[in-house]
Amino acid sequence: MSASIPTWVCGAGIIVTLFSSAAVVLGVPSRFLVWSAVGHCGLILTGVGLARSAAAPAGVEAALLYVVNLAIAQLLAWASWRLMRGSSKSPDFGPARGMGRRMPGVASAFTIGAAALAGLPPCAGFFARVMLFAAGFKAGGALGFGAVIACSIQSLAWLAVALYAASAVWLGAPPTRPVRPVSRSRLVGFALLAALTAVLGLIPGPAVQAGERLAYLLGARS
Amino acid sequence: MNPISHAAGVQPEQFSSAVVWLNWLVLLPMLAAGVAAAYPRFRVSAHWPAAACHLAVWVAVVSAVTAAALLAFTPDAAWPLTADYRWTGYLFQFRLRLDRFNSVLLLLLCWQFAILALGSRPDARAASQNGIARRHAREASATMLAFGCCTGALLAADLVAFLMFWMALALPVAALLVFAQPEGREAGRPIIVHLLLHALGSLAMLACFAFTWAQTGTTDPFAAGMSLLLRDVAALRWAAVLLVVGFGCTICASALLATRPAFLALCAVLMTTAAGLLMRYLHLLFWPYALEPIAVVVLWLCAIAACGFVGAGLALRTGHFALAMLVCAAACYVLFAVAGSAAAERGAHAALAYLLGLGVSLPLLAPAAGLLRFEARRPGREPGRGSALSRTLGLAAVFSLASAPGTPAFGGGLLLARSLARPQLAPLVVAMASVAGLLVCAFQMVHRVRWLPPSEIGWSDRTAVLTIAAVAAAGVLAWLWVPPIAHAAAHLKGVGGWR
Repeated sequence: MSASIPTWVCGAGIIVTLFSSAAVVLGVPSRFLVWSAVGHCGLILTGVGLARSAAAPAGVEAALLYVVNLAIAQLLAWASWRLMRGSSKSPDFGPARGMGRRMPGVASAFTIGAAALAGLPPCAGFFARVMLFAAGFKAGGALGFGAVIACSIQSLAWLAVALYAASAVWLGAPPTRPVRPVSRSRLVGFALLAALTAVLGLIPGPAVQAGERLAYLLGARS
Repeated sequence: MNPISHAAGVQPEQFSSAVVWLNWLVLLPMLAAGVAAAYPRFRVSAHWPAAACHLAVWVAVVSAVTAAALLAFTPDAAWPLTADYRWTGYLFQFRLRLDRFNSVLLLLLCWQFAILALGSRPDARAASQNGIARRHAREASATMLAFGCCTGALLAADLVAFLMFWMALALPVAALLVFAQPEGREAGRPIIVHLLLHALGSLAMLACFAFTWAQTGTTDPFAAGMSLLLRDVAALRWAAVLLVVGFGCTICASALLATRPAFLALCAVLMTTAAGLLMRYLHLLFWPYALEPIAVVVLWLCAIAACGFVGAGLALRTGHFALAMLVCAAACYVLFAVAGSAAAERGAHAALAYLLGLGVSLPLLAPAAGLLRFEARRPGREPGRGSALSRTLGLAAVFSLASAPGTPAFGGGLLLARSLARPQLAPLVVAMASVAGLLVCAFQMVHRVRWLPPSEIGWSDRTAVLTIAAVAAAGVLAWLWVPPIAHAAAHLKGVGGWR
């Protein structure tokens, strides 16, 4: 029996998600944001594949919410992490250790971005995960339950690494090296991105409705 | 409106000013948390900083509204307060509801947070310093945020809305843990483990809710429970198992907080809230055969008993043997009272007798334990030899707790044993007794681990505490799996026409 293309897409998404989960835990610590992006891409593929292969339209809405979450939260977390690390090439969390005391605004932005990527409420990632779980259970079978398990593992793996990073930032000893002050415009940008992350989580209706229309276009919803 | 009409698709009609109350009850503590954090030095009086006042005021407001709603309940108006909004289109709704069950739990939560507010009041001289005022304001604002999240989780009548509040609760709790760290700030590991276990429990709950939605097409627990029971009893079992696993992880996560005395109060609040919520959602899922008024009380007592056993394990960890004995004996009495109330008329009398015995024993044992501890610290005293008063109190309490002849519990035991003779009640009472037996075994195991030399055991204390939680969860699962489902199926077949 030959599998359809959406089934292959969903399977590939699950494999990419699981691979990125392993990499985010076992790989180079400072590259954890890269593997988070890869994991989100895997979840997006999984959602779209589920919607087309197993008639679970919530998968498309989950994928769209993941796209929005990835675009905003990843930018927020990556930019703040880069600012805290400075020009260091160290492979671990060392350069960002204790920066919560020296750059509290930037460290807060990183924490909010990491929480959004972990799918904590009130962020768009929370509803994305809820919808992917709903699509997985609606689809059933190996693909559906595989999607649920992959999403769970990705969430826990990312949360573990993000918590270690956040604890290094907030609980570590403050650095002795000089730290450049952050400009007000950058702080305003971080605040706007953080507010946008929260608003998308608290008012997910428009994004979900856009996902419904996308599901119509893709033929996943009749 | 009764639950049956709601399950049949009739929408609640209570869209009055009461709806506003529910939303403000959840939102205003969160807004007050922001205000308290923004103005750390604002003080109402010399002894009361603004942050503690905010917390106390909101606890009082929520208590008053809840108590008023509880008094206003009548048998025909099960849900006098309901807020219902479309949230994400077709899939989820933001729905808050104050019913008889969660109003009791909300009152319990208010009492606990009131104690926390009183306990968090800083020393007047120390609070005048800037750093301490700021730190206290941060702690109070995080506590208020946690109070808002707990209130929202208790009031939520939609599975996804509940999950949102419950997962959001992890953030203020993590903040409280960070604030309570000593100056060294090196102990981040307990916080990470707590948050990961909380996330694991939330994922199990999410799996339960998504599974329920996929099976029934609704996220209203009343309607979902009804639909699952009518369509697929096995699915209802799996949903309950996932729910118990999710809350079990959360209770374990809370139990880990008890490694430090500073977290004990927070640990107790979280564990009691989690146990109460577990019972609430089990009640919602299983409501078709738990509509009797006694069921609410029974489930609530079960939640308290479960917390009591975990608390006993924790007290043993810290070496408070008298406290552990007190809590464990009280929990055993509650379980016997539950078993008695599940039986027939004589069983109800037995339950009353057990509760009376508990009411006699605890006031005797608590001062006895306190006196013994106090006297053990006095110089020149031999440890374990208290005054005549403490010895008399202790002996009387043990006499009563042991159900010796002449005590109320002795009569309760006789009545319970007679009511066990009714064959149709045997499965439920046996299941309850098995839960009690499992918990007592777990208690004994933790006792051995705590007091024997490590070379003879080889287990860590943490493993023992986790094991007691796992054994308790297994007991609850056994109770869930066998008798209620069988009773419900038999009842539905007897009524006829539902399958």
